[in-house]
Amino acid sequence: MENSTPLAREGLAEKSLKRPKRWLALDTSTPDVVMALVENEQVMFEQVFWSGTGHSEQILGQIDAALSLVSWRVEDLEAMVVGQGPGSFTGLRVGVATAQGLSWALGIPLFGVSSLDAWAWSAPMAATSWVVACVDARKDQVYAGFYRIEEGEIEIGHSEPSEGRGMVNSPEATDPKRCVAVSARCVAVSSPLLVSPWRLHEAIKQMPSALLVGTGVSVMSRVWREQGAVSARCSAVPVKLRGSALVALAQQDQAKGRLSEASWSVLPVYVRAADAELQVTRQEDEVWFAEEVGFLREVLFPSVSSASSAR
Amino acid sequence: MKTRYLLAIESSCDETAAAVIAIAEDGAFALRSSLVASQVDIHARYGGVVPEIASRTHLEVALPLIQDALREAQIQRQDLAAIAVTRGPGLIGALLVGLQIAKAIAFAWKLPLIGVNHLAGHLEAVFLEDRTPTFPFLALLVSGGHTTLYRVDEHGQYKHLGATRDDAAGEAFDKAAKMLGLGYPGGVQIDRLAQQGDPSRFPFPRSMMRQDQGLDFSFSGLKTACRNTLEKLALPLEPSILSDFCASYQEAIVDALWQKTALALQLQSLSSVVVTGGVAANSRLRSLFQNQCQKYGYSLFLPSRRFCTDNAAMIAAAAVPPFLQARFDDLSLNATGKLPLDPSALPRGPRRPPRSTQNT
Repeated sequence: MENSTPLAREGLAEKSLKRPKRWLALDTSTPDVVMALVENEQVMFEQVFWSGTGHSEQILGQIDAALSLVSWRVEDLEAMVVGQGPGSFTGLRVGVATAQGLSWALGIPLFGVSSLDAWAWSAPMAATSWVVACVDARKDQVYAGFYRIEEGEIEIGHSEPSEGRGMVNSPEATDPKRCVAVSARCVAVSSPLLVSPWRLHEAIKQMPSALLVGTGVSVMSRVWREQGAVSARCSAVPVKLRGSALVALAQQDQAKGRLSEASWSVLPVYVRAADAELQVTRQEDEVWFAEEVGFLREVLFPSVSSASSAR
Repeated sequence: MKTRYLLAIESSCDETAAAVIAIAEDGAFALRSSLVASQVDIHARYGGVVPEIASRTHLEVALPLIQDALREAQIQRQDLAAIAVTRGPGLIGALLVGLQIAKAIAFAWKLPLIGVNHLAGHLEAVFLEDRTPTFPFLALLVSGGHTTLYRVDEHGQYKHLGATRDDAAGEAFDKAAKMLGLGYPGGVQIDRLAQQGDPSRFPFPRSMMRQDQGLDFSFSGLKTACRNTLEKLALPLEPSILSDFCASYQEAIVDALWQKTALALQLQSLSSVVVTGGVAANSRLRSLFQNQCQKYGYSLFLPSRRFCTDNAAMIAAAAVPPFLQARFDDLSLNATGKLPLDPSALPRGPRRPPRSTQNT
């Protein structure tokens, strides 16, 4: 055993001063385990594999295998990023606990990013005005994030998605044209929301054009079957969440000067409270429900709501 | 060979815990640090442990606690020789937090991993004390989830002799406390109120006491008796009646535990008994077992209270035998909600027809 970093955090300050080059990304907010190894802007390895409820059994073995594929030792990692959800509670905790433990033990910074943001980054964005990232929340609800695409403004520093040495799961991910598409400015207009698919359907109907990504697509398609097609300009694409998107988001945060916190302060963003808490705070729940309606109205009629908020 | 250190992590229910032990060349071990972050206050408002909230809280506190445990033990990471972690039984979401952090650290530091059965931890906790039993001995494991008698012939060899057919003793305490409006955790409240009470005032039943009923326990009848007795009393109970009620109820549980323990000692021809688990922290249980064992000439081993309730020192203690034998787990180790200590024991409870394997 090498005798660097005696007890974890001591080595962190020194390491986080320089821009980390070698990143490990993890997301376990869905039945997929999403992983990537990125060096600078180069995706060295990226994979999505379905593990159902077997995240705990598989994740470290898969990290080990990925590292050996690109010939890195675990000590070579310089930074980590983990998807904070929302998504499956237990799934999220497996990923976040792994990321906390690894980053702490290695004495490297850990960044947390929204899994919905990463879904939006993973989408091919050309020619739509909105991206809606939605993840199945069960109990007839979805977690949703709304992103406005503003053309013409180019965000620098997003990683090159092609030329990964590892397995890349979807064909469009290797399409060089996509690099242009993902560099369009993607603005998140809300923090993640928990909504019923019908309400989300109403919101999407009002968008001039929208692209729907995430595991919530299957929930939405049930609604569409009942309600008829949403709009000719709304499409749902079967993209997978990409680990390199998590790294890109973390690098962007870092470029904006956000510092990593202690590993243990990176926690899941559950959005939904535990059932027991909801039972205790049922009245508050009604208030929250009204807020949800208010927000969706804002999405639908931004001009009206901006006028009212100026009041 | 120098002293080797082992880090242990426990997160099976509502306590997050981390501990470090030093293992000498001859296998003797000494506790270097043992920290427990209890969530009792968080769960009190719900009247019991809420699994989802327990899991969320574990993730918030586990890593800082581990760091503090290492710091308190005054060791460097390169002094560590292995990591032990509870793999079950318990709340699956809660277990996964400790397990996953333990595996990640073991992977980063290239340390062997030892998955420990939480119940084995309770049974081995007695070896954290200066005075330890010699094999074979009888062990009564009594907690919120378990009430079981084992014959222990060797480290890691536990023979199931009998167990509760319904509620665990700790559950019986908690349910009565709920009916009495005492809040959670109930056992501690009843223990406190019973100090001044008269244990003979209310005649609560002791179930399954005939010798031919074997070494199993039953506490559900006691719960019904508690409800029926309460219905006849004016609520809220006067302080003195409440104390007598608690003392009588507690006596019924502790007495039933002793009766079966005595029978097991007799049937198994054993002279030493270990009582462990959260309910073993109950003061009446401790005094009654001390008196009876003295009276009948048995040697009683009661781990100190901090080793009876959930902690990580006991997980470390249970990991020593596999550590010395180099029996390690790999990184695919998973958490298991149900994990019997003695798999050969028949499952108890209502009989179900065997599941047909010939369905088409």
